[in-house]
Amino acid sequence: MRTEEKEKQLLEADPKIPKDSAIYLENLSFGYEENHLNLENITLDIKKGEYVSIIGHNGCGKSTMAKLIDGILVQNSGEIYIFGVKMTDANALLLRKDIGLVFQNPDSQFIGATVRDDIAFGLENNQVESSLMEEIITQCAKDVSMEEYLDSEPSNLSGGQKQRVAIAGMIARNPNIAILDEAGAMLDPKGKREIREIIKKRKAINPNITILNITHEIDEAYDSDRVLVMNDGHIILDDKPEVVFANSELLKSISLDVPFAHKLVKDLQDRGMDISDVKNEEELLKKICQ
Amino acid sequence: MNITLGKYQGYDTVYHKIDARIKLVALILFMVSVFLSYGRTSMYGSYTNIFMYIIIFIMMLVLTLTSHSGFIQLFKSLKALWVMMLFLLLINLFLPGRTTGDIAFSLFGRNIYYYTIINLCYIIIRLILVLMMTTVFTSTTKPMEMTSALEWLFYPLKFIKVPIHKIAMAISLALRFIPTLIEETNRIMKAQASRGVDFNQGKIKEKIKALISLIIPLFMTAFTTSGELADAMEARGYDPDRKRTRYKRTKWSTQDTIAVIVLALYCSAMIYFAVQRFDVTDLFPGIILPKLSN
Amino acid sequence: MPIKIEHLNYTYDIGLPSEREALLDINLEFKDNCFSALIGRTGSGKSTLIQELNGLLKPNSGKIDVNGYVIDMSLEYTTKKGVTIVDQKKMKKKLKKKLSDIKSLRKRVGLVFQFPEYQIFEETVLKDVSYGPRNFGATSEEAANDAKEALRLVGIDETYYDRSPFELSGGEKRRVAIAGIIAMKPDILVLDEPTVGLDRAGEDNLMALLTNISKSGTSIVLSTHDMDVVLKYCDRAIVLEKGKIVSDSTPLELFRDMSFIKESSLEPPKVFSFAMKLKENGLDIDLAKVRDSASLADEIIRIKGVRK
Repeated sequence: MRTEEKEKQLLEADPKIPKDSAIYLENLSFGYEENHLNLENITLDIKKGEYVSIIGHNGCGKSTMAKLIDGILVQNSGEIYIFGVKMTDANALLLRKDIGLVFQNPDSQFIGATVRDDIAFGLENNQVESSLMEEIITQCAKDVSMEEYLDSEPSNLSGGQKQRVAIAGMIARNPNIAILDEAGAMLDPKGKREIREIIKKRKAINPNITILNITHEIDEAYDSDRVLVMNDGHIILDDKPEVVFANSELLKSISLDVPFAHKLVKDLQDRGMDISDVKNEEELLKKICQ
Repeated sequence: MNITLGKYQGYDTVYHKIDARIKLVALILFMVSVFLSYGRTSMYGSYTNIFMYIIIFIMMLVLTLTSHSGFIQLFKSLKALWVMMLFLLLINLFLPGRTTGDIAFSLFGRNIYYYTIINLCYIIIRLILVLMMTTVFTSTTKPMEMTSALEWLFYPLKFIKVPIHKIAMAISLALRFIPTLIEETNRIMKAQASRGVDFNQGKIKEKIKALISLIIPLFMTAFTTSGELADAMEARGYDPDRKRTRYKRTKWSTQDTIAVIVLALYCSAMIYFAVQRFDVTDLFPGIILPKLSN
Repeated sequence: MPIKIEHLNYTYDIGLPSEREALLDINLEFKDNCFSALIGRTGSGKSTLIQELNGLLKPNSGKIDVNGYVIDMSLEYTTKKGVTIVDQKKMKKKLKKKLSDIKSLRKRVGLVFQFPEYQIFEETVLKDVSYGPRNFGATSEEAANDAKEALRLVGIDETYYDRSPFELSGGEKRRVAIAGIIAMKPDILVLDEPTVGLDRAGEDNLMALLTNISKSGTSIVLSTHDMDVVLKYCDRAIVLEKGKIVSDSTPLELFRDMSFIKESSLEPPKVFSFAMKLKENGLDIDLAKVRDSASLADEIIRIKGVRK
């Protein structure tokens, strides 16, 4: 009883935070070393159920932000609110139960000796009853199409397969916030596609889940509702994908990839053609062929 | 010497199916039974030991053969041990020892007593027996199962503040990463070979440099991986100080019950023989054996 | 410097349960001054082929000729029963002689592995880049000069020379690692997926660097998944599938072949597919000129003019 009461206390929502907020960052700053901030005064409100993409050059602070949100790093200043609850040393672990974070390296996040053991790891940490684990593990493996490999060892799996297992491990804990930190960055195109499909599938099955997808792949960013563009520790753009990617000049200047249609429009405009921005390739095709 | 002696072999014998904890306890009990002292008569002492050891040896032989424990490898390794045995023999010959009991024969002007020979025999047999037992254990038990069994065995240490669970976690992580690190080593070797490094030839200085070009990147990778692994574990809610449930994968089966019964019988038998001071001379009354002491 | 590969076969773990055929009857020729792409899925045999090029792996059968340095595993003889087999003993003897000289092969074919930054180990950037040349017999002075030149090529300036390479960012480390191979002055530079893990800027820089190197006479073979890179930079595209070469042509010919593309589940670069769509819709785009978005824009302007 006392632990439950204590937990309730630790998880009291702050009334000033909007009720539909999933992640609220308030003036968040962080630096790995003294005299240098990797994240500067970030203020951000991500609503429940949003699918947000985060793009930015290597080193802009996106992974740092992900780790801060998950409570793995402690900020220099500012506050983090998860579902309205302010994160403190005392409740970070509790809040983390509702947050899943998948990293980019398939090997260094594969913890168990086999696929089963790896998926079980998160369940063990959440103190799930042993008798319930088998079913959850099998189901999660099915969700990522790895049920044939349940007894395989990591040294016999490809990068893409290992990443799928990592996602299965996250699904097993059933968090309401899912963060993927460049989960497909080290995979071949097939692996990247598989990850993208799994994300779409999960969102379809569970529309209320809040997804943060840190990625370099422009196409994936288009799947999301909202795109955050980060540069040198700041968020410089925050809007729907179509709006963000229309800013080809800006994106190019911070060495980011621009979707093909926008790139071509820009190149045509640079060469003097009178052509306005388009939303996608079909539109561009029509415009050019008129 | 074949260093893969004792590596897990994935056959499908009854021993592979038995719970690792039972096997671990069995291993300990077998080892104890090898080091117990049997026999009664001081004059003919130690013959009983040999006799018991031969019985245990036959049991072990049966176990080894039926569990596909790499008998050939075992045999090869034992062949390598003959050097050590020769060494022991020589020591016993040339150092002053006991000068009691019946003399077996004379060599280079020194008397070789039966006592010396018998003792030599049973040092060697003990060694062979222990080797066989551990080989059967390690070749029928997966490393992860061994770690769980050890964790279970050392549970009481928790009460004197030894962090058994953390140690077990560290060991299982290390085991999980051995193949990965081996792969990484091969990768680095190939990369350095592409830069002209020859791991086989060259002066000592060059070879050391070559080794450094392998070890430093390996260490760096290991450290980076540990950091990332720690993050991943934390992200999945790992808290070393908090209680965790365990994913139990094996159910108790009939084989396990039978194994426990067999083990219990074996134990009782051994203890009975030791306590009752059963002696070889009981079995073969009237047998004449060289005296081992006066 | 030409490389000629004839009937090369390679199988991993022969005789073990994990036996796996990686390369089957590979016939390939690389002439001077090429910029070739090696395309294929994971498991297609790409990495194996790359390792054959500098002798890290020796073929089970077949022949590799790297500008006169020959590894010839086709020592066959016919048994009394009329069966042709490879003479293992003779092969091993010949191999031993060959292999004592394998270092010279490694110098001529510079191989850059995936994530090459993981092979860095020296205390300073300059020392690490000089390591390769030193191993091939250069004096410390010569090696340092070669290293400095290579570092200049990759865009690492003098302020970095005495710094610890471990302090550098991921992109910088990769450039240092590549410099370490360039410093060996190979005739042909082979890279295994050099742009993986880099962001846009990193990728552009690296490809610009490789283009420069290619212009100065070094041939380049790179294995990649990125079709945009293949279209923009390479003059030859070799596709591997399940250990066999299934296509060997120019990028243009490869991407034009729609049926082949579909079969092999490769995705042609967006710019190319779009150019083809424009063509279908009546624009007379010269596909040979389309290498990237800018060149396509040029083509469109050429045909349609600038609209007012």
